[in-house]
Amino acid sequence: MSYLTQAFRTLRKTPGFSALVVAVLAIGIGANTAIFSIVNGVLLKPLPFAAASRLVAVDTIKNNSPDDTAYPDFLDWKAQARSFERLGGYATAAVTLTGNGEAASFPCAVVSGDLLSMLGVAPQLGRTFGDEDETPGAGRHVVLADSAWSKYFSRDRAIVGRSITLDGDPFVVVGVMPAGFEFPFDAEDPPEVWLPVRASRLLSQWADQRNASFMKAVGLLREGVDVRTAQAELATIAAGLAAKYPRNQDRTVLVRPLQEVLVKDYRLGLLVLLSAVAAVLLIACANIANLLLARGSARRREIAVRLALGASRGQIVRQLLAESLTLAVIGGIFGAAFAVWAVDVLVAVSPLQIPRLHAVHVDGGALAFAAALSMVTGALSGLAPAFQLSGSNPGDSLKDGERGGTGASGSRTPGALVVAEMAVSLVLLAAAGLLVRSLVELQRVNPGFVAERAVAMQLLLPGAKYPNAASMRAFYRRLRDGALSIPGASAVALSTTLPLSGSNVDVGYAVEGRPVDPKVRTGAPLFAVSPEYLATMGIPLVKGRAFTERDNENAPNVLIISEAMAAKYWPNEDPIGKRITIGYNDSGPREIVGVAGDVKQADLADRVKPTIYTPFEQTPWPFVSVIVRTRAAPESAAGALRGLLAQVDPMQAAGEIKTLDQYVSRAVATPRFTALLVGSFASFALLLAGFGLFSVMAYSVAQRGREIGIRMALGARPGDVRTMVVGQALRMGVTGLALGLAGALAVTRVLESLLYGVTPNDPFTFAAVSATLLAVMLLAAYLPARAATRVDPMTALRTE
Amino acid sequence: MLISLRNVEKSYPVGVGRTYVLRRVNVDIKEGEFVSIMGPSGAGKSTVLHILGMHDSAWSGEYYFMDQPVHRLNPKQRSELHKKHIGFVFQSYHLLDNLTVYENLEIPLSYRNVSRKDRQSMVGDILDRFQIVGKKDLYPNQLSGGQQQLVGVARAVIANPQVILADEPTGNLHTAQGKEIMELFRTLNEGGTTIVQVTHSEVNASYGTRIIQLRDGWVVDD
Repeated sequence: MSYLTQAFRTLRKTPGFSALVVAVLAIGIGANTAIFSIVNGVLLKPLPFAAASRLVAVDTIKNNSPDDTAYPDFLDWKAQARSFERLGGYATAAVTLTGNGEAASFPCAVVSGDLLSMLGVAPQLGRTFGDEDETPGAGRHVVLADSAWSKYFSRDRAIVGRSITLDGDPFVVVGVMPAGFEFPFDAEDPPEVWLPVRASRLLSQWADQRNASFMKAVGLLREGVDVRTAQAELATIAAGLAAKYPRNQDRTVLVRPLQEVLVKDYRLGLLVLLSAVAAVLLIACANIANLLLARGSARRREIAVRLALGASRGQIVRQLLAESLTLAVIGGIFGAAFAVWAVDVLVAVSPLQIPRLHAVHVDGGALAFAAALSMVTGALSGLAPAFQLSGSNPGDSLKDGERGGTGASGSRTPGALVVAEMAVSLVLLAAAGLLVRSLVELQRVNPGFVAERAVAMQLLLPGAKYPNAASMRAFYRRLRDGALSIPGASAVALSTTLPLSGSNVDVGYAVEGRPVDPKVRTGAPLFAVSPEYLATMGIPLVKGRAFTERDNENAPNVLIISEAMAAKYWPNEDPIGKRITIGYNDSGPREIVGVAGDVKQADLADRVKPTIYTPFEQTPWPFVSVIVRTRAAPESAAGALRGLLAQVDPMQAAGEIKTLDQYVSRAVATPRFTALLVGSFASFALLLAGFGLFSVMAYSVAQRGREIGIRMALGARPGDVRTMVVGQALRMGVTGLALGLAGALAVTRVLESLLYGVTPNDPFTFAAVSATLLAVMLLAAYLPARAATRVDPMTALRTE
Repeated sequence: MLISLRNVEKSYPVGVGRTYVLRRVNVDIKEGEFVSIMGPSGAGKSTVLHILGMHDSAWSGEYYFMDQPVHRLNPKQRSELHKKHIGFVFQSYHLLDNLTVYENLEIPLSYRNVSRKDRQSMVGDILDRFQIVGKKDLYPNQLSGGQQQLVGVARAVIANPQVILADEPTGNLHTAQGKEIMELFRTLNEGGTTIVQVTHSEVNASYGTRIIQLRDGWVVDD
């Protein structure tokens, strides 16, 4: 009979035990496979492009950090660099499709002529762009994503060659990319169409300006050229440009592998998740090893008989391993099914803006991982029991009438495994505790504005229909006045962008009377706002005055600065009346009329940045957000806003409509997701470790029934027995706790960049998680201790 | 000589001293003998048997089995020697609960790497010889104690050992069943198999040709 048949039969004999082990393994292997699928899909898998390993990101470096690139710089790199087979550029924007049913606004990518062909993905219909699309005056062409082709054109194969209207301009569709193609990667808003730079009314106006940085560049290295060589060549070219153009003096270039750049912000978080879930599996393995040891102890006699019948130690080890591997394989099969479900759920609920996340699924690689993990798990959990049992002396077990030996229970292995489980659990708990505390701290951060009961609608006006400031002003006035009549609206304001919305306008500025270092660009977030903005948003006015209706295009230029900017330039002076020039159409110096409270711009965890507010009437932009403060639930105003827009301009599509609460909530979504997952893994680990301690203690109490019976017959009180059992458990637990604390002190340092408002070795968190672990230990020990006090001395002694 | 024990001793450390289970045991057993080891509880009978069966390796002295110095062999060599020449019968039968009668009989052969085909014919032969063909698909808990011990003896002889070591083989059986087993041993002995049994029973000892008396670990009579 094969080892496998025997294993199946043995496991069938103890269905409860087998089911428990399979369940623990299925959850452990499934969770690992799910997280591995995400790590594999995002970090490890090559990008889905031809020659993906030769693709590099080429960034302009300004003030030591990557920045966007000016289109003329990009063209110079392209003309001079020999390291690249091709060099492409792109920027993201939004466009509005009209003349095709209801107007629709969606993300688009504005690209250089050969970007799409460089990526090596053939269109499913038509063609992509060519160099001819980069020449000034080229026809307006557009390539559709498969999703846009489906959504707006019902997969009409005759779409190629047809003219469609984007932002009021006619565009000829030249091609449709295949399903699944995405570039640039954007988990939340993948581009629906690609336009050449020259065809974009918004971006083409900056295409010849060396001070307008709006592009990112991607290069395909020539065969045999490495990143370092390309970097050296581009650095030389950048130095040449700096010598030629004063504006380029503070700019250099950085070449990095594209995949590395795409995932750098998510690598640590994902690896922390993978480590946490791997730790859970290790604890599960230790638990199962202990269960197998305890059960093996009951099988000592069977093993001894097999040895007496001639089985070699190797044969016994193989048979016991066959059992643990069978359990692991069954657990792995259920685990893989669990992983398929878990990946779908994780991808669906994940707020992470991780590139390629929505394309992640459990594939062949993940299944192979699950299979390998099952084997490793089976071996890890089965080896210790197999070696321990096969090494026992059969003579001791086979002597008839011999008292039940201590067997495995007499060994130190179960205790050592429990100590290890406790230690690993504490490390995980500490990590989870720190992430949760960090999240709490983050949620306590005052964003600087009142998020409750306010809704905002983003809009992008097409340049063809609204070609100048006057037409934009007229549109926005009508919209604002109409919004005031929305039922329940208590205030209405306009702003180019919104804090925490993910989009921002950053302008360069110069403070009058302060020296300007041409090598250092001073930039600040700019909000062009209507007079009611500060009051509607609940941003306090600290000094001076707010904008009024009189601050229009005919009035002197004014601005309001944030407290951070006031503190930076006028720490001991009144900034009101001082003047600042901003980079807006050479509009000249502006007088500071007020100081507003600081507002978190990009992230709640970021330090507040000096910020500039200008009157919208003096600095109109084609994009704007309409904010409506409501007396009731803000969601109710969303429909009214859409209706209003349809009245003001039926051809204008609404952009994103969200409550301000949603923006704040999105700002903590990533830390919340990480904390939730690590917290779940840590809770599961704690449960397993508690169960591990419980099972070892319960088994120990069962083995020591006779000893306890004798103690009680000699006068031990229940309290004495309880103390004895709990004391034994506490010795293990406290050792685990101490080791875990040492481990946590070392390990939590890697979390530093994920934490906010809490240090990696936060004493409060460490004390809290230690107390939690101690409480679980006491509970896990108390139950067997209570059972021990119920041992009837007479029965215990008689059964022996 | 089939078996020779020379000054075999076994002891456990207790505190600073040692407790002896066997003291200077010297025994010779010739091929074809039917030996009964007797003595009160705790005399060391089963210990001697497990040393002879090579299940126990924690002892001192010299043990020669078919002129091979067992005391000098490594565990693997001992295991090979034991597999080739020794069968064991236990008081509590020790059949494997989750295997059928057929599979219980097959298992010693599989541990000896006997081919599947040969296993089938050897198990078939032994089922015939012990007249338990009808029980081959039953599990141990479906058999009476006597039937289980019958299977236990069949399992011990299936690999044709020269020696059968039996530890109180009838201890858990009633008289009629015990007699049947002892008759079986007699038949096997008449067929040339050496039998060494541990027993408390004078009746069982009477089936043998020689009695070794142990007391407190010492051989007091042979």
